[in-house]
Amino acid sequence: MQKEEIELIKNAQHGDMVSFEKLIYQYDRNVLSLAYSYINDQDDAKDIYQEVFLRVFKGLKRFEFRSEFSTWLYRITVNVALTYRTKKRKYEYASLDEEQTGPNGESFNAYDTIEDNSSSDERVISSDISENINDALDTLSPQQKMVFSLKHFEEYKIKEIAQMMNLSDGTVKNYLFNATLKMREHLKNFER
Amino acid sequence: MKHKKYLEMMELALLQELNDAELEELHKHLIECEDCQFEYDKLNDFYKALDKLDKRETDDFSLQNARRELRLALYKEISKRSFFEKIADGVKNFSFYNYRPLIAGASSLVVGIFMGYAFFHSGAENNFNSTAQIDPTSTKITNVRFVQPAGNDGEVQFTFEAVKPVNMKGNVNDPKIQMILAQALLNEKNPGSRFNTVSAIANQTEYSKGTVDPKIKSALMSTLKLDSNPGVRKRALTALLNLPYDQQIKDALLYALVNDSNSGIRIAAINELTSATMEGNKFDEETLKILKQKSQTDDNEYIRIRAASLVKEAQL
Repeated sequence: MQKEEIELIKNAQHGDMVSFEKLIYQYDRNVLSLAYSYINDQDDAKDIYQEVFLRVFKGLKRFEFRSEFSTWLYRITVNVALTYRTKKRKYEYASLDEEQTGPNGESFNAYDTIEDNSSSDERVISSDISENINDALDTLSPQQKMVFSLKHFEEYKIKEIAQMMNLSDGTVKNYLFNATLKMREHLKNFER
Repeated sequence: MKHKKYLEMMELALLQELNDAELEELHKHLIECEDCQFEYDKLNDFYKALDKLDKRETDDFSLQNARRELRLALYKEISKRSFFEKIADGVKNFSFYNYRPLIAGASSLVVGIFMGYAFFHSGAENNFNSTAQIDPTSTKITNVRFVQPAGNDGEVQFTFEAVKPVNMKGNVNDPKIQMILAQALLNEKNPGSRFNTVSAIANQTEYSKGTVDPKIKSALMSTLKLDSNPGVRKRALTALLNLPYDQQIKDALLYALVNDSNSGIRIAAINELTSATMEGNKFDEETLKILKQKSQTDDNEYIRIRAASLVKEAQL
């Protein structure tokens, strides 16, 4: 930990709000980004962000420099995100072959949105399938989804994720492999 | 899929989490095993699809919004710790452990009331003759929270808020008066009262020739940043401008310039930064970056022009 950061933490522990803000503003973009990657909703991400820093504010006096401040902060972020319950009703997603009605009253199903003459890659990059990937993410357990988001959206290394989630590397890998399996299972209709 | 080990290695390879030796082992296997080669291609397709997903990135606007809401939440959190609650905390931390069970609870209550009384009456050692009149009949005990409920031995421990109306009269330079004003500035719910409080402090900073208790300075800076009322924020800024320009004041001005929604306050902040440069103060890289951004993004034309000229002057 850098000398300047230690100084900021100590000042913040004594109630100096300017130091507290300087300290958290070094990391708060990452916290918001991490929350958004996980929850995929700006408002919910903001709620998580606020809860994280309120917990940091209340708990900072008990921070004893046994770990990096960032590790401690990201652990709080992960915990808050994992236990967060959205205040909004999630949209239910329709099955791929269920009839839907378009804006002009026409009927179609999700398969119809994929053109037959496109290649497998082209099909898979269509926005409808992106939506389905997001839906597939929601089928994962919170831990799987967190590991998957941290790896794929935030591009952390497995070691870093293990530190953030207080897990072993092996457990993180397991979450990741199982998440991939589940996602592919959910999306298998789109595979060749 | 028979080769579970290789399936996992494939995934780690695509995630760039394999070392050279492991990569070589995987490549050798893929050449020999058609099943795994097929599986690798499918996994690769899946990863390509993930790469094409919209990145979930947060923009500056969302971050600034989140910061503003956090500041309000922190402000509420700080306000919760009221003046008397702190006294109650002090009482809680006293060593009552040698006392007999029920006396502990009762004495907490009594000491709580008299700590508040003693606070206003003790410390006649300074030169100020501040007086506080307390109505002894109107103490209100609220928010009693049990830290330790009564056990078999009858010992209890609890916290409470003792609220008592106090009529205080004294000099604004009296540290005790200043401490209470600083608390009021942060905790008072009524914006009119906060305005009167900050005005009293502003008058004091004007006549004190730049010397002010650090707690008052800190309270003024918190008010400038956190108060929901623009009139109170503006008065806090005026009070701060009476103090000598230093790093803390500069940070507070930059903060107001970047975050305050009221253009009057932002204008006052940039004007003060301009005065600071005229007095020979130089801006660091971070400050220049902020000014540069303001010269392009601020809603107010005056601020954009002023920020641009500050950047230009600094680069000469």
